[in-house]
Amino acid sequence: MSRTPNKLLVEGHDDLFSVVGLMRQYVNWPKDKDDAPVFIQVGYGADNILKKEFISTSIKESNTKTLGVMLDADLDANSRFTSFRNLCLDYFPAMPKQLPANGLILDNADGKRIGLWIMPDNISKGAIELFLKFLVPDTGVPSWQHAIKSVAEAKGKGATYRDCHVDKANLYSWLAWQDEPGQNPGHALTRKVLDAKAPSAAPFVKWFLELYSLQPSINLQS
Amino acid sequence: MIHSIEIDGYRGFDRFEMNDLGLVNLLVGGNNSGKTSVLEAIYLLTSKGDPMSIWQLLWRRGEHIPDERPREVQPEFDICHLFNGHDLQIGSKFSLSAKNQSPKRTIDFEIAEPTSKDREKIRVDGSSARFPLVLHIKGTQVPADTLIPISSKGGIPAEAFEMPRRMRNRIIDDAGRTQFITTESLNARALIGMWDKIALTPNEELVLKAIRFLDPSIERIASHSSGDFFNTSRGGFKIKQKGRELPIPIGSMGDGMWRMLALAIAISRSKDGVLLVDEIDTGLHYSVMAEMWKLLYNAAIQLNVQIFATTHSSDCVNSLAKICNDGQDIQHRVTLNRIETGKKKSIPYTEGEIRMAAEQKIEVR
Repeated sequence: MSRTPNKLLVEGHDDLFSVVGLMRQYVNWPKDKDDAPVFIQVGYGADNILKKEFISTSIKESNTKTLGVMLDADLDANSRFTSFRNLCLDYFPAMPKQLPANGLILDNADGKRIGLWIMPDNISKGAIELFLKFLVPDTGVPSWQHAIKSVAEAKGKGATYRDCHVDKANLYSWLAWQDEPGQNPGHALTRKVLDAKAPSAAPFVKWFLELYSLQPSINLQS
Repeated sequence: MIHSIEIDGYRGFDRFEMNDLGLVNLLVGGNNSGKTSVLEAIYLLTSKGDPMSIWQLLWRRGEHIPDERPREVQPEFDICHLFNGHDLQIGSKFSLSAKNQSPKRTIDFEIAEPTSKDREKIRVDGSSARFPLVLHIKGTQVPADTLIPISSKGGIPAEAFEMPRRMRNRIIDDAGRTQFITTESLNARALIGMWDKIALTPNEELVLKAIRFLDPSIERIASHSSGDFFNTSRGGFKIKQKGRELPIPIGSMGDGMWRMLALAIAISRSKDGVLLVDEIDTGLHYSVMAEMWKLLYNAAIQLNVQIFATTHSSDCVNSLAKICNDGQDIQHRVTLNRIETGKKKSIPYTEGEIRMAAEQKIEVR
């Protein structure tokens, strides 16, 4: 049973690992789930999370004071936001009509706070893999170029990935060649194969820390 | 069916309302949030201002005025705790309202100084010095303006309810009346009295079905004739199990069986009325909760009984999801409401939300 009043809803397990792998480079994140600064719940897809009752019951949970939601934009960040907004209006009547470029953080009169980040950057289409792509360190760029090229070539040899998922194919192909092969993005961040301190991570990190009122730690336990 | 209730000034509530109620209504909330008080308010409402229902609530809570003379004839019931702030003065008042169809029906309970006409109505012996105040019960549901004398200690003598001591354990049993089950459940004598009206009727099958959830080998149940036992807390029934020649007393079967029996008997006697159950999960293992809800839900539909229950148990809340649909059928709606101290409205959950919370392990309590 989680003791924290902070909750984050994410679409899938890889999202969960990615957030933990990233944020533990900024705040203490103990191994025991019950002690985590934010309880991360997997919602199994945006369609499920955006079902009317998921958001409303999560907001009404009495021991949750701050509810954050992280979704992939997929084809249209704006329509994701509109769906989300409609579900929240009853509880957060002051919700803006546009998603702020740096992510949403909003308090209501009942002392509840809600947050939203639409991957990669609240504006573009795409998903978390596009966000993670910008965390490839400079040293990884040549092999990254190779990954993109290989993925494109594989299409010609019968690979079945859909074009809308090319960012995911690129990322996981690149990860397959790193030390250790096949690790999920969360591990890659923890092992510094992906650079959690890259400048493009900063807006998301800032949103997260502010949403949950967390202070960045200087001395982090690894 | 009660669609909404409003409570003003009763016990810990200054103002409180609960709306969009349904056929089965579960209340959750922290300790001392007022869940039991809400059940009591509904009890008073459905009793239409019958003073006897006040007596029963106070007796259940043990709110007697301690007596300096221990062998004194009748205990007095301390009613100040019914009033928000425990404040008893002329003008102290609480109101309960229920919306059934459209018009709101209200019952007011107010402390006043009795007029001389009032004194004629009060049928208790005693000078005006002994009873300086009265409790007025009036409202749209109350058949006639009711007056109850109040002593200088703020107590209501039991004799004011015309209840001699020996009748205190009398079975209160009218069909269509509200049944209120608490953690102690009904006592054996009351349960037997109700069972007598169920035995050999179609409802007997309902009761058997209920206890068979806990023990499928039960073939029959019967009550002892009244000479066989004294007023024990568990007793008075014997069970015949398949494969065992001699019947065994129900007391051998544990708390859960007693609870299930009490629930089944109570709902059978609540036709067209209301069933109130405090801490409905008491004595019941999580594995039987889903069956319990199904049993109660079906009985509620069959017998036209509106159910209000409270719980602390997450298993109880999650298994409620099993009888939830999409909330479109208002007549058979299932609701969950969380009561939070200090909030004037309950936090409601629709049937879809109850199911979602159970599925996704989101906390509703």
